[in-house]
Amino acid sequence: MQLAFLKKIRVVVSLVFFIVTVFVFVDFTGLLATRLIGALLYLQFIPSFLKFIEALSIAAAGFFFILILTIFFGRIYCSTVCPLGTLQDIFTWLSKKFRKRTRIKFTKPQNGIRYTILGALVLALCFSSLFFVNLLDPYSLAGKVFSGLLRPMFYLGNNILSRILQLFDSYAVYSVPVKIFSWPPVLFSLFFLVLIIFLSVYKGRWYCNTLCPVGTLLGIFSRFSVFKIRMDETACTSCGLCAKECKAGCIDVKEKKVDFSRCVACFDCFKACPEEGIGYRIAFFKHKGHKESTKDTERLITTSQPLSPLCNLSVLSVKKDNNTNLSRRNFFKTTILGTTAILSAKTVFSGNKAQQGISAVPVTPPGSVSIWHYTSKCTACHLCVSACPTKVLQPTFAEYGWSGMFQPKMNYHAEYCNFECVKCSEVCPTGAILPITKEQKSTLQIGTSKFIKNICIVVTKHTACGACSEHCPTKAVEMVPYLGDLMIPRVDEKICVGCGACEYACPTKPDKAIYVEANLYHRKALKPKKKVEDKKKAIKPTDDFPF
Amino acid sequence: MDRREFFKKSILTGVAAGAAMTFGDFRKVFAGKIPPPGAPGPFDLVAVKDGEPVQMFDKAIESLGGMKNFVKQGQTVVVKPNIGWDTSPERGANTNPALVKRIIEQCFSAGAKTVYVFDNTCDNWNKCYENSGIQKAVKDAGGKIVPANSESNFQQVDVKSGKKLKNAKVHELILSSDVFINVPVLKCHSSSVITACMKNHMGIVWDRGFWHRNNLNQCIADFAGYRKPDLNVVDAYRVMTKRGPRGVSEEDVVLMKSLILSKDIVAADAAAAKLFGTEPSEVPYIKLAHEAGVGTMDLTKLSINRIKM
Repeated sequence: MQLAFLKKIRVVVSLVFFIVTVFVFVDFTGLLATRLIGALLYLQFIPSFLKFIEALSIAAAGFFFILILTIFFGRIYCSTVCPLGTLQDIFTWLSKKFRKRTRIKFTKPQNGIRYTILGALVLALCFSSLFFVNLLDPYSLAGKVFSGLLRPMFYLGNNILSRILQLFDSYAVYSVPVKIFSWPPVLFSLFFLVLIIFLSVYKGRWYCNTLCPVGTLLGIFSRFSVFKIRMDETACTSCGLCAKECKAGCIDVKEKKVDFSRCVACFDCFKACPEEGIGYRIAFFKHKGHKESTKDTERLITTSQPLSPLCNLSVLSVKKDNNTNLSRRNFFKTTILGTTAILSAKTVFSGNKAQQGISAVPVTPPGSVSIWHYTSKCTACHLCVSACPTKVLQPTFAEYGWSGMFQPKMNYHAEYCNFECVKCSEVCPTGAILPITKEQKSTLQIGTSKFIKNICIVVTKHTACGACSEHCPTKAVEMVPYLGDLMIPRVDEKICVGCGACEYACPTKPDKAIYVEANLYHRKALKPKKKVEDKKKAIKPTDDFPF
Repeated sequence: MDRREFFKKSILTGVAAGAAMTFGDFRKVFAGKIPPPGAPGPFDLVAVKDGEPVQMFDKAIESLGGMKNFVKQGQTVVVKPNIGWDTSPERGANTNPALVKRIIEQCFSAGAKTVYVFDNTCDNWNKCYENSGIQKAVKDAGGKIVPANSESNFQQVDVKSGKKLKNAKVHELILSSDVFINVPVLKCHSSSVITACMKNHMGIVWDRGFWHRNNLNQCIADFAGYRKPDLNVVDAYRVMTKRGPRGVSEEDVVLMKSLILSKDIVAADAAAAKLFGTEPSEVPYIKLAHEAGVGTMDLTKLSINRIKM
């Protein structure tokens, strides 16, 4: 009972994380500063890990803090930071409101499934494939649900409000177009949402303890936690109230044991226990060689008691553990880098057949370095899709190959990339899109425009057009004399940045007469030509009126 | 046409009819004697040079009899600048914000009820509105800056006189407002030689792609006859002379410090072309609109007030 307050703290912290995360994914006004978004997502385990193996800096070590936290108190991540965890808790809570809650019985852990998945994920990661991450990372899955389903709903609500206000001659709320360019990602999100609703209502945190790779990994770490949730044999009256509340189904009342590797640290049991029969206790020293048992030498820690000075020792040994882990991670890193080129090249070139007017591989956003860098880092959380002010970034299905499912691409049929915007590079939590400045972006070539003359309006209809050149921010697409007075586009690939304005603006149907072919490695474009004074004399202001 | 607009229109038609009956004869009585204050001036076109946008506009509108000639008490006005691009005012890709602000202020002084400002932009509209400085200018002047990014605000209309363009989706404010003031910026244009008044209309329709697919110049000329602005104000203060219509840097801009006002959209474009050093007949859509009788590009036939500041 003394620790019951922990539940309240957990609920508040998790809701703060959850609400802000949801807001970041549905917001279209860019209200939150990107630095704040970065801080919010700093602790997201897999994104942080992926960023860390690239940057090796404290700025990306959020996952490390999570590991330390886990080593001390168990899977706090699962109950507070993880948006999918909180989402499940919300569904469980709602189901309790409407019907008598299904009690999640204590079952044996599905260790076979858990470790197979984790192993497969790590193995795939070694081969630079994020296949399992894209499918199973809880943060990215939640992101896909928020961005793919909740965001359109949010937009629709906003648009209805906008329309109503317009009836009263107010334009304070503007409408936001809801356009879906690829259905599979949306359907996947919908399928997953239905699944997770079902699971959270009937099975509690089944996902977290069976499929979730982060849950499994943190579960392994929480086996070695300094403080563990245990039952007190003397205080416990075997009333079973704790087990009734446990959404992870990890409390075995008969044996008075808690499977702490499956405990998501929600602290509901603390609140439920009428005695002081369940609580945190120091467990580290007793752990080795012992099953998780409740020896009466171990004492429950309550708030009034100071922490044992011996804790410090355990901290040291924990750190040692982590150091060995780091070197292992370095090994992974080199392995990943080494195998990157071979495997992803396969991925990239196997998928798409060359087709006129369509880039052979998807164009990746500015800052993503190369298609290999991007596909081996992006967990498809779709935060960039949500944050992109123009919505040129759109989720794909299998265009990057099966390994890169749902990763966003620059969809120039949806929109084009704003010349001065670097939003996606600022928000990306995984380092798939690395931060760039506007100055860097102005000469960053993510692809080059290709002109297909034979379907251009100017050629087929012999009328003026030039929409492509109009929109070009660098005038890489220029209009040059064609027949008579007619002008026709000409592309200077050296100064093209691949923003896709020309492709978006091109009015030809069904295929565009100008399109951006992706650069596998992003390159540096030349600065736009300083001066193009054509045959006509320079226009100068005259002293008098010319009419 | 939605219900709101239907009501608006029916009421306005009634008011207009009543006003015509009331004041129609009144005007005639005095027409020969004293020109009433704010009566249409004798000029078809006013051109101003070598001033700041605000002063040039004040002078020009004064010589046309003041804004009262165009905006009556209680009327709704739509001011349509060019806000097509996400660039700063110095780049000359969008209409000068100071000019837009002044026009709105003048509208309000003339008794306008509401002044709306919008453009169906090319670049991301939020960024265009903000970085062009026009959003702030409009708000400062008390006008309403209206997003035009949603197809639901555009209504299908027939363009009866159109040769190529038979119909278009037009922003509802153009249809429902009493007064339409067209405020383009003069620029060179990669598709249509220059852009000014008639080309600026591409920002009041939804589907520009159709125009580009179906003889752009003809479509521009066709639509110019659909709803002629009550006043055209050509901002030729900073004129983009190359790499238009978006421009790449400030190097593309020449300081011309000029302004053109006319009720005749074709004449205003013709004068703008002349300023640019191009013959109006060399700009295909000006020629087409002239031939269709939308207005005249023959400046010699017009009474022009030339003001040097």
